[in-house]
Amino acid sequence: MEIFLVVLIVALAAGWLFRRIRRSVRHPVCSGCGGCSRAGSRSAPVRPPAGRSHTRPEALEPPADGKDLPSRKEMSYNGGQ
Amino acid sequence: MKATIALAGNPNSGKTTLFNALTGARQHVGNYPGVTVETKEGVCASGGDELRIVDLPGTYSLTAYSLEEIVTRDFLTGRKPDVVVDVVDASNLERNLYLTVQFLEMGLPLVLCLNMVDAARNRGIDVDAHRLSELLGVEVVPAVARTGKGKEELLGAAVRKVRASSAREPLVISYGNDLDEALGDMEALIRSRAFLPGAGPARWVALKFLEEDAEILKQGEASDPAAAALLRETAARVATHLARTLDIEPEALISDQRYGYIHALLREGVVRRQHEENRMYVSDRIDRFLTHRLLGPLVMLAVVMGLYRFMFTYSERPVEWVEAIFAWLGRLASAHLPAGMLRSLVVSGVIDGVGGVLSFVPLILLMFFGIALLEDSGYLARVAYMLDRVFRIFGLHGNSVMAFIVAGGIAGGCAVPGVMAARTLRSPRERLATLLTVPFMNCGAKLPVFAVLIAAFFAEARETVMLTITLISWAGALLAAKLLRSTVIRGPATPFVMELPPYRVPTLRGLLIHTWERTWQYIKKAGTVILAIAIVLWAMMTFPALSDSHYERFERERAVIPASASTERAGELEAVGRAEAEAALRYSVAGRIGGALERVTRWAGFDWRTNIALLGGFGAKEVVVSTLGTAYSLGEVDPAESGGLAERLAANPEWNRAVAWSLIIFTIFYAPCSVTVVCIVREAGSWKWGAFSVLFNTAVAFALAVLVYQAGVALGAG
Repeated sequence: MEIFLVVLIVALAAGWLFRRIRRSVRHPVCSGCGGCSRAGSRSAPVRPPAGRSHTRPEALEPPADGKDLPSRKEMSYNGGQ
Repeated sequence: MKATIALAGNPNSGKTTLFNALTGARQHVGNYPGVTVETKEGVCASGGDELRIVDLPGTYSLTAYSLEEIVTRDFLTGRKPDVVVDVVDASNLERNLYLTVQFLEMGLPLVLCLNMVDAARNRGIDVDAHRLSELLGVEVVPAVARTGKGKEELLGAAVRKVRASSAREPLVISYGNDLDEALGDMEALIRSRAFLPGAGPARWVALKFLEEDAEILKQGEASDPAAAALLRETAARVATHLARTLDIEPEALISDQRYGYIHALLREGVVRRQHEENRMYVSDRIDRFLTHRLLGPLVMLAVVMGLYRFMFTYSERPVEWVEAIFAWLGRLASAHLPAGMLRSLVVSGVIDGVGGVLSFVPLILLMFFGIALLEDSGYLARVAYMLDRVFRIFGLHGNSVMAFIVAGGIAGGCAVPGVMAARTLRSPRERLATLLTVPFMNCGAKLPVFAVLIAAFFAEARETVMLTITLISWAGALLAAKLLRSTVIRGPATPFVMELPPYRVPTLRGLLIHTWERTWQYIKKAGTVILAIAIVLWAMMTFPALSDSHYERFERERAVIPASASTERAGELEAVGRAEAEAALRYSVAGRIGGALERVTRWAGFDWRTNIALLGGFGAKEVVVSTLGTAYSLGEVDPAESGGLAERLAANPEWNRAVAWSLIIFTIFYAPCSVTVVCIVREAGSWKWGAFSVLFNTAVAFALAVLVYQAGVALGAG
């Protein structure tokens, strides 16, 4: 009985971890190490209950060609001031 | 009615604060630019209307200079929101309107949110919203997003704009004879050929060709190469003419003319100043001291040192209390569960493993409070400003500083948002160098590892050791960046412009929310990911169990100890029990893996237990502490009666200061946790860089750990 319980707990933990790893490969999220408050915010877009909000950040992908963006003058940032 | 409202504006103009106020979300808000690097969506209801609110990254312009600008522009032209709420900082109107003018030139349905009117009033700046509205031809709503003032009026204005749904004529600014003539020709061509209809009005597309906007040029080439060639020819002709006659590029002239338009507009009674424009404000006065070339860095070190002192001093007692709670739980479990595997799992795996991580909650909480204080006051932006000079020497960009700070520059961040923050860098090479060095910072997960080792071996100089750890991680990251930028990712440096926000007195509510949100994430992670890993690692440290012949050997050893009630006999029995527990651990899967690595890691002073802990740390860095807790607990005859992990390490003859320093160095630099690696892969666009980050970091970490350990042994610390 005891060994069955231990094996069950370990199997549950391992299974949950496996799912978690698989999910994080697809949608890497801050897994809650405390550095930010956005843990898990990449969850699927679900409509929130009335009066509540739900956030869905969208990926800001780097340019596909991987090349540098065009060089620009500093002036364009501050309008030549 | 359903509608999409996009929140756009300059960095640090309060878009995310407004987003949170409108949607009730708790997105992270920082008193420095570049906090939002991705679009976020929320829903809010207003008078029966369902409004989808989209928070866009802050931009100064709509050029293709940085990824945030491209994303914002693509969203506005591609997704076509029903209304754009342009959030402008009322105390910085001239610069903020530069973006507004571009929105108007694009003909977007616009509502202007005049944010932070209270701060502007405090600075003696009074903005006439009504007059501004008349001149721009858009509704202007004064607001204070921080307190929610003006929120309802803003939503009302946005809904009115959606309902009106009348197409807005794009604003036409005169750019001078030379440009206007060329623009006229280009517009005619664009209209006649229906060239890039989705990119914006014809005049806007023509302006982008004059500005040599790479994105629009690329789209144009793909859509109609012949028309694109004609437009480029006209743009080149104008550029040559301007260079010859005015010694200026079209892009700079366009920018000058826009500012001229804004300046003229503001002189029409929009802004009244009680003080002269060049007045030194309180923030400027503080900055003269805090960002001083010599004093600034000294103050910065003192602030960080003070933060660590605060953290260690006030967390000492609460950490002891939490440890005592877990020790009590261990005794309780031992008393109620029969001796066997289940008790071992609960006491050594769960309580000693996860308890080791959770006992540092008070320390983590105080650390996050301190960081929230620095962040909300605006001091972190100054740190970025001061470190920019240093970063340039090592081939990194000023924007990399913010990524480093977010990742744990002052211990306690997270590498994942740090890696994401690198998106604000425009040069892929600088971005890559940042991505690969950001994990060297001391995230909140590494903090318990350092805290255990400091408590065990450096209790008399806690904050000094913590500051040294911080400086080592920064020095290592910068040197690694220099190495990478001069070898595998060579390339020119790009300029950096950063706006320093005014100092603000943080609100207690804001500080408590920031602190609690981060601390809760730490607790949640300990109760989920760390717990699961601790259980799996416990099984790996328990199975396969010793064979019967092994147990018989230890029984024989016990049998030969003479039967008496002396303490000598009890000591001998305990020694046999400890040898049996150690043999069982070494026989397990984890023991065998750790033992196989020991031949190499001995050079750095790591035994097989540390090896298992460090391997587990690849899943999440807190696992180093939980695994050491379990490993040393399993090695005890009666784990429930032993002290905390720090006490166990301090009492273990195999541990000393040289080993502790070696482990600290290795933890700072070795492979990032798995989630960070996945993020690096996604951001860099290749698994190659993820693998590089694991191998490069581990190689650097091991070389440094060996160096430190061998030097420590030579100096008598081992």
